[in-house]
Amino acid sequence: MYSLAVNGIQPGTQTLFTGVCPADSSCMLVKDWIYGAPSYSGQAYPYSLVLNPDDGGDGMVFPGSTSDFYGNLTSLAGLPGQNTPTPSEKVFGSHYIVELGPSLAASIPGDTYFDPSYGETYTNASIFETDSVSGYAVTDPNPEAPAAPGVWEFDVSSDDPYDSFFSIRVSTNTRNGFNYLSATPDGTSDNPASFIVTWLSGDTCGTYNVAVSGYFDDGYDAAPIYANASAGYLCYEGPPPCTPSVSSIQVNSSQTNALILGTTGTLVINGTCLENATSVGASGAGVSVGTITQNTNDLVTAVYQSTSSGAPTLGYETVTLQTENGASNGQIFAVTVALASFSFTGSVPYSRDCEGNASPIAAPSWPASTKDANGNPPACPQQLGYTGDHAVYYAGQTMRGTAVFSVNPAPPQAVPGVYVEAGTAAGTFSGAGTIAAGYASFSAPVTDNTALPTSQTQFYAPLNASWSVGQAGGPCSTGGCVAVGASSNPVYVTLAQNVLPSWAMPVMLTYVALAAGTGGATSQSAALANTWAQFSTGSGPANVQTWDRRSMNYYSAGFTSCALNASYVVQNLIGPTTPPSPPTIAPYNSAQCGAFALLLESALAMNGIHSNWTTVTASDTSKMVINDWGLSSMPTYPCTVPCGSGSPSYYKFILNAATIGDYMSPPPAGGYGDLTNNAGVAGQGEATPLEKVFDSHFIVQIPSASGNQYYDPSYGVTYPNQLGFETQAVAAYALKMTPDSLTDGNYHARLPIAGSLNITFTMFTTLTGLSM
Amino acid sequence: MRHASVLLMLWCLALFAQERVATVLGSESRTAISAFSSLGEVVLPAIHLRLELNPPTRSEHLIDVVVVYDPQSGRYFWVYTPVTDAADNGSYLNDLQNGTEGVYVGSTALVNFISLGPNFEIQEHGRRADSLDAAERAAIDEIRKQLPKLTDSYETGFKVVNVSRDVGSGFACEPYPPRANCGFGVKRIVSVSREGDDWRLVIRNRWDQEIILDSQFKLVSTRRLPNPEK
Repeated sequence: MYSLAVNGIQPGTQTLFTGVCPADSSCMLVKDWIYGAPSYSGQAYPYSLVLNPDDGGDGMVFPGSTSDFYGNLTSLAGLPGQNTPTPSEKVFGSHYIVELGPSLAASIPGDTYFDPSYGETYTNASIFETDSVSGYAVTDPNPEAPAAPGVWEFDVSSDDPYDSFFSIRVSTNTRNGFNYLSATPDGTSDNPASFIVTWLSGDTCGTYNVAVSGYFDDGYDAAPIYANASAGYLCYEGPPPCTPSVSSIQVNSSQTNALILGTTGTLVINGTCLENATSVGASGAGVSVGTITQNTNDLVTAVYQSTSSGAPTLGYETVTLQTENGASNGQIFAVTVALASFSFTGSVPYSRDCEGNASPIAAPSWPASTKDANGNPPACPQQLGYTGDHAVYYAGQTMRGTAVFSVNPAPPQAVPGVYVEAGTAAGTFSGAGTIAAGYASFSAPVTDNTALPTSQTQFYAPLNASWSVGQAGGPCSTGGCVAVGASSNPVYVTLAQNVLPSWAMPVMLTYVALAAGTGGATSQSAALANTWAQFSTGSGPANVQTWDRRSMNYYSAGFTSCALNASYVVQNLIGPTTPPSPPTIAPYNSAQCGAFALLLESALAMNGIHSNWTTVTASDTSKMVINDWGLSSMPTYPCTVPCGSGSPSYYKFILNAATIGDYMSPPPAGGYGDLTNNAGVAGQGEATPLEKVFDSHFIVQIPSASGNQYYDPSYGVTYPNQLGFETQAVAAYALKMTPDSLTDGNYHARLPIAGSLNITFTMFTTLTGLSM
Repeated sequence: MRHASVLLMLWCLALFAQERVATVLGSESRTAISAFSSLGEVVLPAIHLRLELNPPTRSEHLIDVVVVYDPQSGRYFWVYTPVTDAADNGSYLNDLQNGTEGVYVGSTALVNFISLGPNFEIQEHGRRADSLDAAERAAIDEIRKQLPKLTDSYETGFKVVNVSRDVGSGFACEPYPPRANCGFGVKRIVSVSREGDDWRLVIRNRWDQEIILDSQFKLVSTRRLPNPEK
């Protein structure tokens, strides 16, 4: 006789009873059944009855199985039902039969209760129990927790001291077949002996019917003897599958589920039971997920790639995390980002001049501003095909700005730390911004990573910026960013911080254009040369133009009034006037010498070059008659013999009567007296300026200039000194003398006298004296 | 009407063909001008007329003449201006009457101050006549005798003093914006007086400016007066 015992060391907990019977009443087991060894000896319900909880009936049908084993019980063919020798269901909470009524019971002798299902009749409940019921079952009131992988120790012993147990064989008899488990002897004793059976994770989970067979050798019969399953039925189901549950998805460790399409990065998936993750996928078009990393059971990261091209899915997308134990979904919110605008900060404030007006530009933007401070179209819209405003910096500065992006659609969660980058020919702008929850745009301050070279003028015409954003930080050269658009702004870089005095403000764009030119100057002398080249061919006027190629002309033929200062000449305005009058366009864009002198000074000031306003007058305060003129061979007022410096011949010279204004405009109807107005000398934009007689002339002295220091921007020439001016420019001097000059417009003109210089330069070196 | 004037002129020319200077018929008028004196402003009689120069000088054909006479002292002077064409109604008389030129009645001479651009041209006159008519006749005679030098030369006997250099161009024009053409000018001679041997002129344009000249009419000093003299 052999005895067999099973002692769990850390066994997977047995599922001893699973049933469909209600907990508060027993179920009836209809005949017939075989009762094996009870799993719960000594208890009111000692046998384990295993039913299928998923059976749509009462629990006896296991899909795909024809086994008759139901725990400790084995179903036998028994009470046949209608047309069924052995009904597939034999466990019922209720059964319905027919009881005869009193009248029928009186007239029909015999049993009172009729059971049409089984074709039986019963006298009473006792007979029903005797005839049909094999037993009763109740739902296990305390089902144990599901089993986990583990080991069992099987102890085997025999009363026969000659028996030895060298091995045992353990099988699990499941409803789907047998599984054999390894059993390893534990210790050296062979009677009694211990064997360790290991039940590994991954072994088929189900209801196991364990049978143990042992070998014994009594010296006479070495054949193995099988002992049937004295250990009873064991069910090892392992731990319940830990169903994954995704609680949140963060894009690139940010507290957001919004994903900017086109970027690459990492999805951080938080939740529970995420172990054994096998894949992550997104439902919409535009996002694909690659390598996943199992960080913890609650955290999985997955590398994603996305695209904004084509027709990507926008808005919510489902992200599915698949594990060995199931799948769970989370959501991301896919958005696209596009550059909406960019504005420079720290740009030198200036006014964009145009004919008749000027528009202040404090923060140059792309696209170019289309509204002024009052919401009206700007008086001076951008020109020359540029799509953005000009920006103005000086050498050594670092360009900065603010980029604004549109977001589509507005994400429900904020997106912090959006990396922004723009590659340009002058360095890379970078910065970061936050998309606020519910907003369809965001801005990011950006700074160029490369300061503008010191002491160098430049003109980026234009500076193109290719913008990208990323959610995983930067730089974009390491990948992960998406291109979101481009901006384009012409950028002037002056040699140094401007020294334009306050009275000459505001900075006009033309000043800057004349200062920077096409760039490339690395010294004051080079910058001066670049600027001067826009005024002078070297021997005459270069016909200087505004930044947008408008002409500025020196006393154009037909003009009636003209610009008197730099800001007016670049706006082609008359004046300023006293008292102030509404801006009026100067006919033929005409300007006086003072306007050109201030324009040159202003341009130089943009590069930090100081200059001195210089007034040229005749020393005897007569009027200067500038070249070229023809003279009568017989002056009206010939000199008195002996002629000489003290007694020159005077020519009758007739001008307009005005004492303040233009002496030659309009030209006197009767001519100029003894003088003939010849062609030349040329001024800016005018081969023969209409006005050639002046009380004063204004030029610019530039201390830092080598060689000639006196620059005459009106005529595009330079002078070494006063004598140079008289020699190069002055044809005659004119003054009024009694009695004939009592008639307005009558003058006496004389030629310059060699050795008797009559030119005075008055240089102003203070700011209030028009120097800069 | 213009034809009539021309015919009348031709008739006059024929009448005085033998003379080199003839009064344009109907051009003469009598008037009065204000002048300065040690006692303040006084009024002097004056004659305004136009003369035709026959034969004409090279530069002028008609001249406008103003003769000023001081009945107290019998002194007189005349000033002429060329007439560029028949429509030219410019006259020294206009300048006297609107105050841009000045006359001082001195104890020894009549002194007229003419503002010409940057300069003052000044002349003292001590000649005497018995009456305004006599002064007119004397003036015409003097003009006849001085032709053609009178109009074909710039030697007029005036003393010239430049004041613009010391006063500055701001007297006539706003300093900013700078203007290339801003001729120095006097809108009004406010007063002429003597301070000892010196002359004190107050001239007005954008402000009132005091000019001190010595007895030889050389500039001694100048200053801007704080408030315009009313």
